[in-house]
Amino acid sequence: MTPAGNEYELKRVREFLPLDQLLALAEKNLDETLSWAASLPLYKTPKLKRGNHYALESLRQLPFLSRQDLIEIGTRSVSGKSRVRRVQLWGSRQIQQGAQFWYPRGLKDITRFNELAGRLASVSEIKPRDVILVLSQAGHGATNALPYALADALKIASIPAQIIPANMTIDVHVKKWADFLIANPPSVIIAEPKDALGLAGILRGITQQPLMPELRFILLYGMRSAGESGQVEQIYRVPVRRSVGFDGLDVFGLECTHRQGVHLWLDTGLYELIADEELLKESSDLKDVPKSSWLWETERGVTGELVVTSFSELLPLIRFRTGLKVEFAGVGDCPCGRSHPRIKLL
Amino acid sequence: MARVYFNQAIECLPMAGIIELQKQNLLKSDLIHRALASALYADAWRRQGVSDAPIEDRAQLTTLPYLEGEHIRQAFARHTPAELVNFEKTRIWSCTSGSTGKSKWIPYSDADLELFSQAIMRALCQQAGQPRAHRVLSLTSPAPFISDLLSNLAMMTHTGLGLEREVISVGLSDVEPAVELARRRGVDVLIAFPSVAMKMAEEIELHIKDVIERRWHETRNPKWLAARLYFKINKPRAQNVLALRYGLFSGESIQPYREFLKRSFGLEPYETYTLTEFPCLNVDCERHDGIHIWSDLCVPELIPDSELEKEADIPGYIPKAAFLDQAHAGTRGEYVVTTFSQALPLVRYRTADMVQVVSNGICGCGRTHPRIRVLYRLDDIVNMGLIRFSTQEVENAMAGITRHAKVRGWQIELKREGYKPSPRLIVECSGVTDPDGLITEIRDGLYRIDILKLGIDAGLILPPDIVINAGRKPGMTASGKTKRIVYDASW
Repeated sequence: MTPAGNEYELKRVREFLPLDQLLALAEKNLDETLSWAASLPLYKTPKLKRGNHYALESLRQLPFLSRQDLIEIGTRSVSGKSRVRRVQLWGSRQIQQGAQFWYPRGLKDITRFNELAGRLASVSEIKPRDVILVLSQAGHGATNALPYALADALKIASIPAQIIPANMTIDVHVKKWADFLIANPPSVIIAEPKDALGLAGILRGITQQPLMPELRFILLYGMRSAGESGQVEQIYRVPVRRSVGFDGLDVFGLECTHRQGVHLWLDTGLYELIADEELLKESSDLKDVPKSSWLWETERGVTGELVVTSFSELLPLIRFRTGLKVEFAGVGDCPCGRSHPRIKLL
Repeated sequence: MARVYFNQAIECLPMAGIIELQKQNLLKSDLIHRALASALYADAWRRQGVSDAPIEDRAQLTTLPYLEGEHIRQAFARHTPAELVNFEKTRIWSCTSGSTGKSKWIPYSDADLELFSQAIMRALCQQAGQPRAHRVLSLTSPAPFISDLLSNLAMMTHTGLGLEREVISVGLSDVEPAVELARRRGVDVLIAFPSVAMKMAEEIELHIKDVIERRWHETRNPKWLAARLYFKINKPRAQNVLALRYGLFSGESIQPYREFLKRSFGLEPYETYTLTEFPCLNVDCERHDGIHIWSDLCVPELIPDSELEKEADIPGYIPKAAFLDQAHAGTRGEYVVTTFSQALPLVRYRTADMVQVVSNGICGCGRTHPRIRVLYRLDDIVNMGLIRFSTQEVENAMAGITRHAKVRGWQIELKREGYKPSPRLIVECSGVTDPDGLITEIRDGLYRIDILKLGIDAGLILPPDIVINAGRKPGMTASGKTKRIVYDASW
């Protein structure tokens, strides 16, 4: 893939870097991330010191971060103003009833997110005249900013495609605008499965015509089970591509047109896998700390829990246990030519 | 006066210069040709013999037909979007809330978004001139509404320019959890709908004593004891929790809320005026003497009251408009705007917003762009700020009343209790069999208007007071019909 010279094409190069170069890049990012993390009260451990040099392997000597920790991070990250670098934006996500996870985002985080939106356009092969419906989630997380970041990315890439940003949370309003999707049918939908299914139900109430005849594919995020994508595929009768994203991590992975697993971007984070047998040991012995392996060094077909480390500028999440059950699908052998490792969501 | 992003050359340009800019933009935007390429204008304009010659002078604009919201709605019902808008240039869509029952979808191109960014920066720099970086709590309604676009566009513009501005942006349903974060971060600017801001103040003021009591019991920290004693003597105010300096309010008139906002939050309120059809953020300045209409970005006109009355009285009469900069201070009328938008230009768009000219002179702040006050809606909308719906929806609800009486007529009187809208529905009925049952039946019917129910449940408006056969309030339309919506002095 030869860069065409514009900003968009130059950034695309990182999608196709060989694995060793990606790992070198990841190590550099990790070094910066851990040096910064050493100053955060959240990561007070003798293993982290400012000014130290951190190689890839040093990451796996650090403790895991759990979902419960995220709830506490929401509070601790905002105490001690001097410890928080320049915050541009606070994102939020309800982790459980009454527990809100607030995460600060800096200029670099926002810039990286915008670049990832551009990558979404590239990986999904967005075409001129595509009409992209983006259904955002409730709250104010990454999906709320996505349509606008994507619009900006498409502008930079000079791709004349349109975005329809929408949100299904206020039922009263959805009924008033939904019929526009019949007049201006989307060719791409980006949505959570429940919203994609909810929208189909509303449109069925308006028209007997086939749903969105121009639709090429649906990109799903926030899936809770593998079955959900099957349901969406059945109703809309187009291929479904999957993605994984984690609010607060500024990391998200995407399935390409070949649909051989979700590519996890090594230039935005590092990925480990806790294999099933380790999880089993942990469940039978609560004191056991499970061992993980680098995702790209795992044997294809191995299943387990995905662990992510983000290179976020303000609040990096280090060794975050996502709770996602995945299968390692390979690295460097996707027909699309992208070298980043792939997973299947289970 | 130091400002981070104060575009003095444009904002303080003498009116003659602004008019020259309008002329240049009318020519540069190739308005006539682009409008004729859209089915929204083409048929009507050809029927009326509109020439396709480019506009050399803005006076030529006044020869063109008006465009109304209903025209846009009908055009979208009859044509594909590709026949109506510049499809190749369209980047993103937003829609109106659909007070009349159907949302209007409006496209924007990259160039349009760039123009909106400019207007956003002009509006935000009203406070950004202060030496410190601001921390902002922004309460927005979700996509596809314009508030979501403007909030994200503001963020992207700030980020792009590397300006310091920390934003906590939340949806209207997440206000409560955001308050604690906003307090900790020392938020000093609030961007919100006035009614939602006041609802937030009510909640803070209601719960402040409980929170202090709980903290005192949990921590035994003397500061909580001191706070406890303080509130035994003083009335809790939202400003005890959030130390806000400025508020930027939009989406509904700030007038009824202004003093309450100042009292509760101790902030300086700024009012903005924008339309989904043309999301150019117009704002009042630090003098708070009317909203400056950025007249280099559009051509604003006004149809005076007297012309609106003639239009109502004489079938087929086409009212005359004056350019906003030529209308006298105090003139009231319908706001009309022509935009240079690339994706969908609006030519002489009648906004149905009744406004009053404050002044066309140079403002104390040095800006030269005309200033207005937004008064109320002219169409058949029951407008209670954020909560608005068509009179047709009330008509439908009343038509469904059959069990305990037959409805012969109705009228809504809009009043306020404090700042809060308090609608009163006066119903004229015949054959009443059970007065109490009838009131319940009417209330049930009204509550089927989703947005009304939502507003009552969210505490943004008070439940409607329903009275039977109490006699409708005087108030006639220009054509002699009894007005469906009347305004109490408290409004």
